[in-house]
Amino acid sequence: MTELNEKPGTRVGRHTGTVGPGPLNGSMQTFLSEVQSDLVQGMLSPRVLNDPELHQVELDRIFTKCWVFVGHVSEIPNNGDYLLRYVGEDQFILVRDEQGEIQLLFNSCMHRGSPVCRAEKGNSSHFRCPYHGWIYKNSGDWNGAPQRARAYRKFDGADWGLRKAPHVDSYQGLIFACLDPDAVSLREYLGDMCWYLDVLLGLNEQGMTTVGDPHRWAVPSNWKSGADNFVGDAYHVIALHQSLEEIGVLGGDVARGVGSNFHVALDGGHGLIVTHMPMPEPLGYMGFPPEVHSTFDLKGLDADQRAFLDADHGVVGFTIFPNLSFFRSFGATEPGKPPTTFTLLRQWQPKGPENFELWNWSLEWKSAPKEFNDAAYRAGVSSFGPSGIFEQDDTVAWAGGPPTGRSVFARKTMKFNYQMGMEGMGDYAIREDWIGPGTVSTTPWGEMNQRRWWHQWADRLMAQ
Amino acid sequence: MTVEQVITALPSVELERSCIQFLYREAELLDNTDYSGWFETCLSEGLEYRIPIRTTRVRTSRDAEFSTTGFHMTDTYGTMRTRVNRLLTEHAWAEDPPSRTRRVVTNVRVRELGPDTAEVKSYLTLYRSQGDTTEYDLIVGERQDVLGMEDGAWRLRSRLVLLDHTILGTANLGVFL
Ligand code: FES
Ligand SMILES: [Fe+2]
Repeated sequence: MTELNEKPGTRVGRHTGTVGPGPLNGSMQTFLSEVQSDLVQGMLSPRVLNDPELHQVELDRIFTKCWVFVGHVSEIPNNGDYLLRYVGEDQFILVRDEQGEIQLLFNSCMHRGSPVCRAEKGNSSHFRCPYHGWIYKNSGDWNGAPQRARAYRKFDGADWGLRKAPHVDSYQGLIFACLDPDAVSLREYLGDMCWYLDVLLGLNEQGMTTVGDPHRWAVPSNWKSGADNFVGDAYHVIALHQSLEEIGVLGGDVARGVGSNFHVALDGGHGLIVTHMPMPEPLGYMGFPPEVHSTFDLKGLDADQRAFLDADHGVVGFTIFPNLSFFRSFGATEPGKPPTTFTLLRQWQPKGPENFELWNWSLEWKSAPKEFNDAAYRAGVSSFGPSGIFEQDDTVAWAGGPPTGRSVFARKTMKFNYQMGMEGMGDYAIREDWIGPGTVSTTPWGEMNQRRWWHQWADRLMAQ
Repeated sequence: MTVEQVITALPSVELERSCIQFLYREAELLDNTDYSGWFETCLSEGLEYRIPIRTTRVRTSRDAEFSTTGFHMTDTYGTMRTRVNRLLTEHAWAEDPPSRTRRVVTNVRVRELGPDTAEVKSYLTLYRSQGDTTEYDLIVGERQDVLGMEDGAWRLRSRLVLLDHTILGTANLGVFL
C-alpha cells in the first residue's frame, strides 16, 4: 500500500525544537526602558496594570521563562493522582506518574487539541482523548490509538506524547514548573528564598500539608496587584483593614507594625515582610503553642536559621516572583477568643490584563493535633479567601488597576508613587546586622520590595 | 415510593408556610442590608454555617465534588457576629457602598424532623451589583437548612450552601448566602 501524501516523496514530520520569545517591538522597548528609569525615581506608569499587548509579552517572557508554582506535593500523594493547574493562562495536568515522578502535561491532544482531561481532580493511569481515542500514559507518553495497525503502522509514538514542562521540581513541598528548557535549577531560581522556606515550612521532617481544596475566585484586577501587595505592603493594613481593629480582632500595635515589621528583598524579585514579635510564654516559634512547637525538631536548619527563630522572628508574607505568595499570622475569629496561627499559600493567576483568579491554599503541620489544625483552618478562612474579612476589602482596593491602566488620560498624566522610604523620605533605612540573607530594612515604611519586584518584571520583559 | 407514602410524607400546610415565610423574611432583611436584624432574629446561637468548596470531578466520583474539608465559609454564631459587627463599621469597604442584591428563593422543600425542627431545602439565586455599572454577579446554589423553633419563632440552626460554582464568579463573599 502506498502512502497518500500530498506530494509524493514528502517525509513524515517530526517536531522542531521549542521557539524562544518573540522580539519586542520598538515602542514596547521604549516603554519598558521608561519603566526602569521611572522606578529609579520611585514611579510607575499605570499602563502596567492594563494593557493587552503587555499582557501577551508577560505570558511570553515571564510565564514561559520563570519557575511557576503549580501545587503542593501533598495534593497528589499517590501514583496516578492528578489535578488541573495553570501556568500563565495555559491549562496543564499536574500528575504523579506510575514511577512516582511528578509531571506537568499540557492538556491538549497531539491530534487535534482536544482536552484529554476534563475533571479538575482524580486518579488515572492514562488519559484518553474523547475525540478519536488517542491514549496517553500519565507520564505523558503516547500509548496508542484506535485502528493503530491500519491507521498508524509506521507511526513513531515516541514523538507524539503530550507536550510537557521540561522542568518540574519541588522545594519544601512546593511544586514549581518551568517551561523553558534552558532554565536554571529551581534552587538557583529561588536563591536565598530557600533559606526562608526552610524556616517557614521545614521545621520538622513531616512538614506541612494542604487542607481541603484551594479556594478559587475571580477578582476584577490585574494579577500583579496581588503580587505587589504581598511582596511588601504592610502599609495598607492600617487604612484598608481598619475595620478589624475597630471590632477587636486585630491589635492596633500589629496593624501599625510597631517596631516589629520590616522588609527583606532578595535577588530575583522575591521579597518578604519579616516580623519580630516577642512571643508570650508558652508560645514558641512564630507563635505556635506548645502542642505544636514541641513537634518541631529543627533538624534541617543551620545555626543562623535557628538564631532567626530563637530571636522571635517570623514571616507574615512573601512573594516568590512572579505570582506565588504566602501569609502566616495570628488571627482570632471572634474578639476575646485566643488567636491562632495559620499559614496560607496564594497564587495570582492571570486571566487577561483586567482579571485574575485568586487561588488560596491552607497549610497545616502534619505533626500538629487535629484540634489546633481545625482552629487554624477556620481562622485562615475567616481572614483570607473569598469570605475572609481581610481579603474582601483587598479585592475592592485592587479593582482600581484596570480602569486606571487603560485610561488614555492616566497614561498621559499619571505615574503611581513608589517613593515611600526612598532617600530622605522617612526613617526607612538598610539594616546591616542581619542574620539571614537579603537586603533588610529597619521599618515597614518603605517600598524597596515593591520596587525590586517591578524591576525584576521589567528586566524579564526586556531580556534578550 | 408509592403515592400514599408521598402524601403521608408531606409537611403540614402550616409548617411549610411558616418555613417559607422564614426564608422570605431572611432574604428581605439581607436585601435591605439589615444585617443586625438578620443576625438577631434569624440565627440560632447553635448555628453551623458552611459553604463547601466544589471541584469538577468525573461522573463516577460525583459525590466527591463538594469537599468535606475545604470551605469558602465555615462559621458559627460567634463568627457571624464578628462579620456583622464589621459590616456595621465605617470601614467595611467590600460592602460600602453596599451591593444591590436580590435573593430569589425557590423550590422550597420542607420535612419535619421533630416537634420543633424542620429540614428546609431551597434554591437561591442571588443577584449582586455594585457601583455605577450595569455589570452584575450571579451566585446560585442549593441551601440545606435546619430550622429550630425557639421562643415561638424559627431560627437557623445549620445551613449548608451547595454552590453551582467551582470558581466563584464574584470578587468576595461580602454578602450572606
Ligand atoms: S483530537 Fe485527540 S484523538 Fe483526535
Ligand atoms: Fe490586605
